[in-house]
Amino acid sequence: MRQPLSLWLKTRYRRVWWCLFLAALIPFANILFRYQTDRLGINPLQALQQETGQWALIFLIISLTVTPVRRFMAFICQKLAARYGKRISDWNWIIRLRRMLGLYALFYATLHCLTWLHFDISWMFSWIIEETAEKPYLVAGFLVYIILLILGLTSPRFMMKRLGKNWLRIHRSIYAASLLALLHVWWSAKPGSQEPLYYTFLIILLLLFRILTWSGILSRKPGDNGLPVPERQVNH
Amino acid sequence: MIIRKTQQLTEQHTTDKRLYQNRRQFIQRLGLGIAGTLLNRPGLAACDVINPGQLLKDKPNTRRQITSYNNYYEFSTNKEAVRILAQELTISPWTLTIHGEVEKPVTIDMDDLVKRFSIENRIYRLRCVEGWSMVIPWNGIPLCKILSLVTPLSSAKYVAFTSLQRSSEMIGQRRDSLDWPYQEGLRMDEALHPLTLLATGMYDDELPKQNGAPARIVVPWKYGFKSPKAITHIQLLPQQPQTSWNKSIPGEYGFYANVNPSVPHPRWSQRRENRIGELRKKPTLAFNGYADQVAHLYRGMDLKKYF
Repeated sequence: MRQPLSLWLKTRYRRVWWCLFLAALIPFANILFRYQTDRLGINPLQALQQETGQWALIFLIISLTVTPVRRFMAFICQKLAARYGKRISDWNWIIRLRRMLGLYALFYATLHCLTWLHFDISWMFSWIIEETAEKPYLVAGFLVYIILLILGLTSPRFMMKRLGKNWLRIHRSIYAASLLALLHVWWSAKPGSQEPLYYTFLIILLLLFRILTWSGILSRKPGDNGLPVPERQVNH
Repeated sequence: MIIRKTQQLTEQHTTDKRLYQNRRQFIQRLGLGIAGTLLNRPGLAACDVINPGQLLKDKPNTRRQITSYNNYYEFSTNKEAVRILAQELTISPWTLTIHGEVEKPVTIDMDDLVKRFSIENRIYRLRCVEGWSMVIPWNGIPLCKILSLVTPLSSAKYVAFTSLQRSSEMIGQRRDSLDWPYQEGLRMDEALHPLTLLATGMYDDELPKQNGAPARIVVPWKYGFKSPKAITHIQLLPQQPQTSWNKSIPGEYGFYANVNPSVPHPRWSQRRENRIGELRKKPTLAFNGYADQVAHLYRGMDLKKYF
């Protein structure tokens, strides 16, 4: 019997995890290499700031896609593999990758903040206050970072257990963070640039999925809330 | 009994404060003006001369940096794409029309214009409103000398510049990122200031297309958007002209747009700047470091209001 994709990947979960872990480091390695070899373009500071910010946002978006993708893949695979029964089209395991993706968003956001603090502000804390008072996009950016930091700190399994139901409440703030990140992008983008449009489209789409499930238009499924779901046993 | 006479002075009886404070210069100009008339030189013959030795000296950026990082929305909003896209532009033949409040409007071929004047070298700092800066060795003609060709009338208070509109070659103009053609303007005294240049070259070579060939304005104490590229028309006006960025986002881009670290911009920090070639930001100077030369033009003006 040919294995469905979900099962094939699930049985190799450790390897999938490592592949994703290393793939997510590629942008970092790329930026670091270009920084070391002076290949960041004509304006290296701007390249550092923009690229670290872009990757933080991209990982935030990818972490938001995990839940909808899980449902979508399960739906597709159920149709394709119906003759083998529903149980082998189980995609719940990809939820377990989401913590890493979220932590990568925090990682790139940290780099984004550090380049700003080091090269732009030169660690002059009085300037931080001056600048923040003038520029609303910085306020939005700080809020996103604070949310990501709280979510990062509460992401280990023992924190999940300790926080119980509150864990979910806290982690729902990622939706607010994604909207604040959009504000940050729109407010800091130069007029006429198209990039914010793409991010906005993706985030609106992903939030729309949540609105549809909360409102009951799409039926709720176990695992939608991000809590671990007991996996179905697979019998060969 | 003493009867005090009330002083019946109206505004007409007083000298304008700016004029009073500049009285010496005013008398000097008057003298030079008369001398100019006597020598039968056209129009505003009294173009002041700037001594480049007085200007702050910075190390110029490399030709590669200057030609690969350009804000030129007529081609693209991507600064590193302009270098390639701008090569499509046909810059010869090219005529420059100077008209409006002038005695003798002219339309002159660029090649003739360049032959008629001596080309000067000016190493100027360029500060973009986006927070980056460069040092560029321009070659060009002080705008004052060019305006003396047409003999401005006393009613000319402002100068408007119009850049080329040719969407067949300038593909950025097919999007309405700005209201095309690009329009900029200066007050007459700013336009006549000896620092204001019509650049026709760079690094003792032809002006690269991405830097505004065949002719662009350079006003070094103002943000870069006040220095329009590929200009075709210079119009002298009795009133302040509309300018592209000011029209597009008036709250962010003023008509004056003097480099001013104390007037913040909602996106970009104006206190510090990112000198191309240096990773760490450095402080931005008032009037981009040309305060000694130009601050007197704005005496008595609230530059936070007229930003």
